This record gives sequence, C-alpha cells and structure tokens, in this order.
Amino acid sequence: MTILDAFDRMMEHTARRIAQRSSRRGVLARLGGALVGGAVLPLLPVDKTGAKLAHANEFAKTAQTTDPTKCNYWRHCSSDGYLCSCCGGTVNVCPPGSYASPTAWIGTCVNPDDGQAYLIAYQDCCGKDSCGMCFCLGTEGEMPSYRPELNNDIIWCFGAPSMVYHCSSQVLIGKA
Amino acid sequence: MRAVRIAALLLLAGGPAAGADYTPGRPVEEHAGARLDYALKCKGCHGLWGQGTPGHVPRLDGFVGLFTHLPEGRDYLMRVPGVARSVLDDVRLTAVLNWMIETYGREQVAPGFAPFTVAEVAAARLRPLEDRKGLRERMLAALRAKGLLAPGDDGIGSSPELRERSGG
Repeated sequence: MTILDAFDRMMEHTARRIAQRSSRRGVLARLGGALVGGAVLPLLPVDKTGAKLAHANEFAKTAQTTDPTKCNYWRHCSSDGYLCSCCGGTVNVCPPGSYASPTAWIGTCVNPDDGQAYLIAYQDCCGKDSCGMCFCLGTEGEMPSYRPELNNDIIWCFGAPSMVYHCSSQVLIGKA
Repeated sequence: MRAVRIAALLLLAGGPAAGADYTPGRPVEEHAGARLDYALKCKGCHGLWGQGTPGHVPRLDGFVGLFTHLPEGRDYLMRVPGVARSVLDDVRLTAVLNWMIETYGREQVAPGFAPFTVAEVAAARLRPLEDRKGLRERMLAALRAKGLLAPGDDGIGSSPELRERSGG
C-alpha cells in the first residue's frame, strides 16, 4: 500500500466524519465567521517582531526566491562576501575542497513568498583561496566590528581547520 | 487526481517555504522570546545545539550548569563578557540566562539553584570581570576537586587548526 492510498483513506475517513457530525448551514456560518475574522485580525495593533524585522523587510521588498547566485536572493540580506552558490557550492553546502566553519553570525531575513522571517546562519566556507565570484554586501541587522558577534566583515572561520576565507553560505536554521 | 493528492500532501507538509537546512526532512523550528534572542546573539559561536566551538568557545550543553555548584559561579555567569556586553537589555538578558540554564544545564544544575533575577543581572553586568581566565581556571579546578568535571575537560577542547600546527 502506498502512502497516497493511506492518505486517501485518511481523507475519506475525515470527510465522512465531518459530513456525519455537521450541518451544511453550520459549516457556512463558521466559514463566514472565519472569513470576517481573518479580515479583521491584521488590523489589530500587534507588534510581532520589532524594529529588526522592519529592516529585513526593506531587503525583502526587492528580493527574489529563485536565483541564489544573485545578490537580491532573499537569504542574502546580510551576506557579506562571495556567494558559495557561484563557487561550486550552494546556499548550504560548501564548495568541494573547502570546510564549513563551525561558527557563524546569525541574522534574520524575510522570505517574500510567505512574508515570514527566517533565521539565517552566515557560515563561511574556509580553507581555500578566495572564490572571487558574485561579491555581495548585505548589511541587514549588522553591527560594527566592536560588536564582533553581530558583524559580517569578520572572517567567520573560527574553529575551521584553516582561517583562509573562500565564500559565504546562508544556512536556514529556523523561523523567527 | 494523483496531482490533487500530491498537492494536498504538500499542503499538509507545511507549504512551500525552504526546509531547515540543518535538519533535512523536519519542519522549520519556530523561535520566539529567549530562544530567539539566544539564536540571534549566542548560537553562532556556542553552537546550534550548545555544543560550542572546539578551541574557541566553550560548550554550554552539559557544562554551563556546573558553575551553579560554586559560590562565585552565579556571579561569573552574569559577568562573563559575552553576557555582560550583550546588546540585550537586562530583562531579555535575564530571560536568556534562565533559558540557557534550563535548556543546557538541566542535568547539572545545583539543587535549589534559584533563577536569575533582572535586578541582580542588571547590577552584575556593570562590574567587568578583571581576571576572567584566572577565575575560570580556579572554578574548573574546584569542579574537578568536587568530582563534577573530568580531569582533562575544560569545556573548550582544541580546534582543528591548533592540532594541525602542533603536528597532530
């Protein structure tokens, strides 16, 4: 039995239970309530994420979600350096011959597709000469180097086998 | 029909957002409150799972709670540079400290240890540690003497590049 068959059975079972336990009018009433409620909710004065997200939103206004080799790819909002996506790696895989640093600085970028803020670890790939391709300078949420833990000018290769910087990756580690 | 079923499966799986790169196949974890502050301000060096960075930054998991067994340990945790110099305000910093002990020190925390209060954190972070390294070494020795810490364990270990330099 495939997973789709199991899914079919589950959906059928659920649909039958709903059909048995509810009237059509009841469903319409609740659906109407949900639609009106959904329209009112965004008006409520809730500050969900604070000023930092407002910055990230600025970048997201012109960001895209399809081409990670361009500086305006959504995850690059705080990426400073050569994009690993242009150097034989991807946003979360270091190019062959380089090592992923165990340290990173972590920022927040908004994905314009769903408007959601995500935590991105800017993890340098180290141990190989500078890649030299696709230099980007994203500065969302970044701070001066006297706040090293929040600065992206620093070569984040601490703990890697070599401090030589190759490129920057942008690893998604969670939702904010 | 098959396409409809697959689309429905995808919807159940949580939409088109990119997956969590560190945990393939698992949903992207939500971060809020102290956990979010920890992620943005501490995790980059102390590690996604509190495992630290060998040779550079101590691990928190299974280690940070040990300091609560020493009289000066409570003070140390509030004054250590990464904590005292944080951009977080006193309230959020206190929440991160308590979250950290709860998350990474649960197994080691001393019986009866009281959560940090905002007032004590506010006062402690204004007094810089003058001899952080010496104090830390004395505390680790005390933990070893109590049998709480293995003799060769300093919570940091050594990094790959240091091993390379020393020929090993």
